[in-house]
Amino acid sequence: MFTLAEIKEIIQLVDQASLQYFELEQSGSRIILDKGQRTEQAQTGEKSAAASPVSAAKESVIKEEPDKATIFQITAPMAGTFYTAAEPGAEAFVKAGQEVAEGTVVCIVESMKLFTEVEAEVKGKIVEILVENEATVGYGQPLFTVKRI
Amino acid sequence: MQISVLRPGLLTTLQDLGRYGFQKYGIIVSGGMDLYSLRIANVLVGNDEAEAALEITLMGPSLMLEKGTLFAITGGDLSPKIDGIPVPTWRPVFLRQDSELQFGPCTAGCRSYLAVAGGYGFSPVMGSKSTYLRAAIGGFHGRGLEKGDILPLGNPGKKSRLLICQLENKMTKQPFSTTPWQAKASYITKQDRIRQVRVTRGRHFDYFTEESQSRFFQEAFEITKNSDRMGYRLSGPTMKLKAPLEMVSEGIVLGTVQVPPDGNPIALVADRHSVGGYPKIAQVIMADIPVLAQIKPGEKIQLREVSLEEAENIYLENEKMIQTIKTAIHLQIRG
Repeated sequence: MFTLAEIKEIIQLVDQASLQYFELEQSGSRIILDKGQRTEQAQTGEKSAAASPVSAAKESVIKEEPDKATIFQITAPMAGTFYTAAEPGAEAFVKAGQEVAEGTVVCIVESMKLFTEVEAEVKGKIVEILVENEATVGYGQPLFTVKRI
Repeated sequence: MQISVLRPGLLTTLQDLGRYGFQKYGIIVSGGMDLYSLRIANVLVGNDEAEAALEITLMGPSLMLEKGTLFAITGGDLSPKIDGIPVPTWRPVFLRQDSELQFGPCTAGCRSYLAVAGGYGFSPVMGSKSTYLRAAIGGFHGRGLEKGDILPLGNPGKKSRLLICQLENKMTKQPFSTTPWQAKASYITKQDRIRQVRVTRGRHFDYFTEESQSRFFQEAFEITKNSDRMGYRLSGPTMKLKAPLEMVSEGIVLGTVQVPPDGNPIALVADRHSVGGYPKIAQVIMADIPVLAQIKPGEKIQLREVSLEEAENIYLENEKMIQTIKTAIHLQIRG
């Protein structure tokens, strides 16, 4: 289940991003935000909550062309194993909510026994770490979402 | 290109994979203690893995390096710095200006390796650039580095030059530039714990009392302060023979664990002599020699028995891993 605060935040983030359609599924809950149809739904399991119409205020926001995407994704530079810390037991490079600058090392991807540091390409705040530590990641797979500052 | 020695450190010697083929004349093998780190250091700068590197022990030197030098530091972490900035280890580092490379406190492991692109410009003695300290041959005039020594460097090969091109063009405010990728060694950590070292049974294992045999594998041994590049002296349970054993000296190899009459085992390492007359209780497996080489005197080890077949499999796995790293680095260099 998403909390009301989370749903609010997601709506806000999607609203500001240059996205037309957004879908998120997490442990049985699903959120679909579709700017094209100007409807949004929050579903829990089989039961679907009544979709609330988008307010007039929101419509005006949608009409505005977002000048710059505020949400940025850090993607895997290669296929490999994702590590949040320099070595087992060490502190993670970054945590959700932490501010990063261009060049801040956010994680390591291991491929063929070589360990490549991945740097944040923008100044911002880590919104979410999208991959579990030691998970296998593919080339170009989003690893972090960063909100530009 | 050259390196000048400002401070020599505790024991800094030139070592390669060793001087083989002359043990029958009593010439010891020598070579790097942790050959995994030495080989990877060379591969990281585009050298042949058998090239010589500086082996730096516990307390490192201060060295003056020239602009344009490509080097890599592997092995234990002896806190290398340039202008107070920590120098990344296990990756190629290119110098953008003449710099003093200072080693500091040893925070992990025991020995560091400094490889330079093109290698060190010394002629091999009996096929090797390794320093044989007791006979004073090989390496830098057969001795450890001293203040004021000048070490000439060889010409970087094609792979090294490609890497230099990549790093030369990298924008940075630091006096050096490096790659985003690096190699690693899982057996060197800062954590203070008893290290496991795997051994096979030695030829004379059965000559020891049953109590000694079981305590050998059950109890921990401390690496004593008398340990050096020749042998790691172990202090722990005393190993007793069932009956006195009169032995004729016979050949010994890297990692042989022999027990002198005092009952304290000695694991023979790089500068071991060619024959020995003490009973051999065990043999450290090849893959774990680097593990042993990075343990500081005063630290403890736990010996674990593996079969010869297991030892061979671990060795092959290890060599495969090194080949994988080499391939991965070559791919990175070619970009």
